[in-house]
Amino acid sequence: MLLLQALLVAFCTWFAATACPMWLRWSAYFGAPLVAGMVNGLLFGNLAYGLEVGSTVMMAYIGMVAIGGSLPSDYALAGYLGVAMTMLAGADPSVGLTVAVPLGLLGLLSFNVKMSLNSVWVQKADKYAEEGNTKGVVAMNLFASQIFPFITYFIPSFLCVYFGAPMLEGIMNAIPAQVTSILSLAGHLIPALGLAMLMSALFNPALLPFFAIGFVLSAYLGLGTMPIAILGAVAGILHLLYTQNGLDGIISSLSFEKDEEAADTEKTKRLSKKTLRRSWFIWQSWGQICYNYERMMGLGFCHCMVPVLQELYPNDKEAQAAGLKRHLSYFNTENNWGSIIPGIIAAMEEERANGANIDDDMVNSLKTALMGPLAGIGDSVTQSLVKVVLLSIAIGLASQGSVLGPVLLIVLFSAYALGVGYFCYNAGYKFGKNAVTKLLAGGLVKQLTEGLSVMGLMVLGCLVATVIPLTCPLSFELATGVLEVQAVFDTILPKLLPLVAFLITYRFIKKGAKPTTVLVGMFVVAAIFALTGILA
Amino acid sequence: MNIVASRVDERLVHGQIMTSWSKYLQLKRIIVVDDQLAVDSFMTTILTMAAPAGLEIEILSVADAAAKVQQDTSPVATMLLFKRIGQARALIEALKDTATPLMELNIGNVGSVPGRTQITKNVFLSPEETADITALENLGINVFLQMLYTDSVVSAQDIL
Repeated sequence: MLLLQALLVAFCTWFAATACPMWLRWSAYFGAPLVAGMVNGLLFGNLAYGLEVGSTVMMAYIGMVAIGGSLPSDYALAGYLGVAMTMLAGADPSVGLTVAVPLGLLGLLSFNVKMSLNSVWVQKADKYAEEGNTKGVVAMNLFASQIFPFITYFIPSFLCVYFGAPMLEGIMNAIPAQVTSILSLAGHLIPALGLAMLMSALFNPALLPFFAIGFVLSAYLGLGTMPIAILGAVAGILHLLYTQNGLDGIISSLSFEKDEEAADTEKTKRLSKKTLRRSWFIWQSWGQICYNYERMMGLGFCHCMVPVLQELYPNDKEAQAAGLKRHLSYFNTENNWGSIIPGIIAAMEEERANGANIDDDMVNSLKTALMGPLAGIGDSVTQSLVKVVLLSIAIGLASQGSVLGPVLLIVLFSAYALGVGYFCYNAGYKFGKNAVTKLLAGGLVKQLTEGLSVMGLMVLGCLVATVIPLTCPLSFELATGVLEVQAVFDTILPKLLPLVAFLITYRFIKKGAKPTTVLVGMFVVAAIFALTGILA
Repeated sequence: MNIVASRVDERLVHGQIMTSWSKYLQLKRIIVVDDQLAVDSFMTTILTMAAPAGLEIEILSVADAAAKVQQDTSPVATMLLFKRIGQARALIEALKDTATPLMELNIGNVGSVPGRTQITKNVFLSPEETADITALENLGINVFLQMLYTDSVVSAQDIL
């Protein structure tokens, strides 16, 4: 039984870490602990326990962003492996973080080794490209890319579950109650770190009142994340209505003018709708599957150009080879909004095949010019805003024991990724490099960022009040009766302690403290306060 | 000019700058210094329009940037951003004997292209670029490699 479980957990860890299509990876990887709660819950036949552990662990990771190939912690190991280990040890959900966080940090090793070693497949792809061997290039991206991750993710996870779980269960049973209380208090503190990191990403002095609204709605009225997210969306729209040029201003910014569709009948070679769809889908699924430090998404980009090159240059091995080589250069952007770039390049390839004077240098310099700005937009919208809002709704539902939490996360995040990606790819193909100017000039992105920031800050306020469950168990015998300290705090401000913990953590993050340092600090603080019995 | 950071980043204003550095340094302005970009109207449009609310982006040539650094006395928190190390060297050399010299240079991301060798996981340098860095160090400039502010600082001296 344990053997089968170990194999399945290891498979999930590896799959979410590197093998699954990118559009699914947004939820399966960045929401790993929560999705793992569901998957492992089903696997071990205890869904409620799984969801409880998953949503507790998820809280620590809600504010973390992975940008430009840098990762604060590996979500797959923290999630799938961390939740599984916690469950197999039968530990309390609040201890789950103590198990998951170190695994997530160790996972950075898995990530770094894979990122360094995967370069060899790109170099091998260079050779295949030289020969015009498209199958070889594709095989490098899809299959060879999985060899090292299998070694760095699957094998350690399998060994950890198979040999570690029985040991961990023994350790958990053997540790004294004091240690458990420290770990549990640390588990209550750690979400403050994720939220503080989120705050530093969302911080905008003008929008801070929305944070207060979210906090009050939750602390005083006890509203959950779902109603607050809905109110947040409404507040976001109202905010735009009052600060932008009313409704017309918003609508005009959203419309994507469809002019200058020049009817160029001179084109003899045209990319079919089917080819464009295939190219787009390859990009959004496998653009990052062979992510590596040397060329980042270079090989994935080349892969998505394969159907384009094959249609434009059928039976012309030499032209295909030149095309493959052209697209194997360094490339790194955000997958969803960045889809505009392969769209633009597909259009450029089409023009080139029709005899336009476009050389390799022009193609490459346009790719490099656009990848940064689009990653800037994409990372802020997708990771700091959309991810946070979706995750908080999902955590809210899952912590009430509803499996709808992780399911909604997967459905909505995939829909967002595919929807934005499809729109951007086609806009890129249709309008060429003007697509980017059009996208940005309309103010669509700025409106979206501003509106989602309002929603994000309200949800953040709500999260501060709900996911940092700190209380003070102290009480004093007085002549007039028993004085409960927590009751005094509650009369000042409900959820005062969570708010204070959040603000202190935010101060450290803002001053540039490293997340790992803060994490260690939290364990020290937890030890002091748990042993003295001041906090629980 | 209130220069809070000078950085070489081939990807210019991307996710790391927008979601990490600009928040940490509370940037209000980014000045991209590059002779080629300054005359490229398409890139100028893209870069200025991609700027998030509250962050101003300017693109200047080395000569214009040198003049601006000396004249501008506003307290606006500014990052000087370079696409190419050579351009950073040119600006630093242009400013070295003025009242407002630049004393630090952060190397963020320099990608892999043929002719460059890997220095750290995200920095690849050509022999000319390595020579530029050595020249800067000889001027007494502190050149260091750091991707995000949460990453550790690595002095260029130690690894080149």
